[in-house]
Amino acid sequence: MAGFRQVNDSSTDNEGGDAKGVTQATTIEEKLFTINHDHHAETHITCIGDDRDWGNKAFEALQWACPAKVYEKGEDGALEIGWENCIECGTCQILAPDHILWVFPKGGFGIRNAHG
Amino acid sequence: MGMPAFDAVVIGAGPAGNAAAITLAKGGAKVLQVERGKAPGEKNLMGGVIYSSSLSPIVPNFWQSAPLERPVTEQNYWVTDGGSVAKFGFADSAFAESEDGPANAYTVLRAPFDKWMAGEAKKAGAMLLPATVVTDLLMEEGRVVGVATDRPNGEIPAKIVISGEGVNAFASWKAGFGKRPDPSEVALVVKEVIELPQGVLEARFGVGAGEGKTFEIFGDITQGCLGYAFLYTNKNTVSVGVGGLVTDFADLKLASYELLENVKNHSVVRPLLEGGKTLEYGGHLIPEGGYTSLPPLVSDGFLMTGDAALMVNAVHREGSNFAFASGRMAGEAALEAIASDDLSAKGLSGYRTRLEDSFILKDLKSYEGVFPFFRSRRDIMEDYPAIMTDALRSLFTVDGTAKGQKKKDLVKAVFKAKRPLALLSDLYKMWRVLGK
Ligand SMILES: Cc1cc2nc3c(=O)[nH]c(=O)nc-3n(C[C@H](O)[C@H](O)[C@H](O)COP(=O)(O)OP(=O)(O)OC[C@H]3O[C@@H](n4cnc5c(N)ncnc54)[C@H](O)[C@@H]3O)c2cc1C
Ligand code: SF4
Repeated sequence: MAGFRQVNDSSTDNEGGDAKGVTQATTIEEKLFTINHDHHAETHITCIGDDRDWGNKAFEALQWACPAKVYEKGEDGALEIGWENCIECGTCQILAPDHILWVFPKGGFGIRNAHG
Repeated sequence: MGMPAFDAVVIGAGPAGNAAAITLAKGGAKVLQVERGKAPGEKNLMGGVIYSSSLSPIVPNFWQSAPLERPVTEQNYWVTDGGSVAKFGFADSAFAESEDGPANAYTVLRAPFDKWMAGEAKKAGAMLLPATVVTDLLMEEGRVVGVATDRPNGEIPAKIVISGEGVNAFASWKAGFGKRPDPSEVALVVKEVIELPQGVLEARFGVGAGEGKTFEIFGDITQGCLGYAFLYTNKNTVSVGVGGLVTDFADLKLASYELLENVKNHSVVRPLLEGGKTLEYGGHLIPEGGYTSLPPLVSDGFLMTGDAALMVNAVHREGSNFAFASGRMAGEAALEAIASDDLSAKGLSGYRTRLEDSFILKDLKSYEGVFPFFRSRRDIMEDYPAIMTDALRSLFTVDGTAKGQKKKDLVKAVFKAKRPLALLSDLYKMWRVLGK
């Protein structure tokens, strides 16, 4: 698609002269870094049953659908849940209610949007 | 259980919950609002545009004290296809703020806005219990008689409970009111708030101090997701976002944050954001099931409002207005029920009547077919942007072809892309679902 530039294309940084390009918060890691959290000590996301085998189609769907990259394939080839990054949208419990138990973090914990 | 200490417990301090709490407190009821965020607004996010007509009846003169970003004085709709973009816009001086009244609509940022509105509820006499999750509804013989929370000994009895829980209405679902929606009926939207020096923003977008613009961008910019991208001007930030159905991201193997990055870097968007600084990223769901999926709105001792009740018009980016108005109506009906000492569904039926007499159920009903239509005919969102930009390109290209010939070629090209009957049938169906 001709209208698109490659993600992470930094070739036009400093174009326009007023600052750096719109490359700030380019990666999901950089985006997540902009969000305030107060983490509770315990996870609010658990896997239903013990099956964390990455072969499970539901996990792959979650990997694409979660906007905070919480669901990833760990080094051991099993599902890894990076719950500290969760932005509390609820997508995972809508998409995979039979595999993931997602509840609200305890009252007062979790994300604290400054803008929203 | 003795007499409950509260006439009403309102779950949530978003637009719906705040509207209900303000209405109840102003009517003299004892109200407790329970919110899971440490402060109202911290869990929330939207585009977002609010509409004065829905907020004024709840907080008259709101525009003098609310943290509003900019009046929306111009609305734009863009359609992208490849390297082309078709642009439509509408500006009206009647959209601006004047000495006698508010603008038609304003851009807002939800964290400060919700905090302000919850403050209005407090001023009116409502109590707020923040940092508390409602985990279940208390039931007695099929009637809702209060809420359970995640606090120690956290049961709170109340005569009436109003849910303003938003799209993830876990407590209501658990108690059997409404249910988890199908993933194909929920949109996931991600956005960033990007800061620009106010002067740069105003020069780039062509807006003065009391002016603001919105842009909804359709076409291939969503990379196949059933949704659109948006740009809304705030005071010294721009809200930029994009959405699609939850199932789109999984099916297309497209991460929402990568789609957002591609939107930010699209040739029609990038120059507007160049040099900006991302202040915050976030994501949120929009329930799009609409009229056919509505949960029970009125039950014994219980009312559902706003997103929890799927009151959203996704086609027109309206949701906050449904939340404001339904929250207010729930508050009014609850006051009637308390006054007549009838807390049953019958005593609360003024809520349903108000919804039916207003734009809420009328709009939800008339847009009933729109969403299933576009879901079943995704080709419409894919083919027509191309047909439109091709036609406009041909019209605007000066290449020595006579205009009469151009028109003939154009008609030929359109019919080549869509057989005449298919085209007619599509236009008819679109008119049917959108033109009611
Ligand atoms: C990206 C995006 C852009 C949008 N843009 C627009 C727009 O431009 N214009 C428009 O009109 N609408 C827009 N909408 C829709 C609009 O945001 C919603 O319709 C509106 O916020 C609904 O209000 P609500 O009060 O029902 O729910 P919410 O705003 O979701 O509020 C629910 C509140 O309840 C709290 N809560 C939930 N569950 C519990 C619990 N169990 N215990 C305690 N507290 C709880 C939450 O923390 C939250 O504060 C947009 C939505 C999104 C996602
Ligand atoms: S709630 Fe949203 S952000 Fe959190 S894990 Fe689920 S999908 Fe990811």
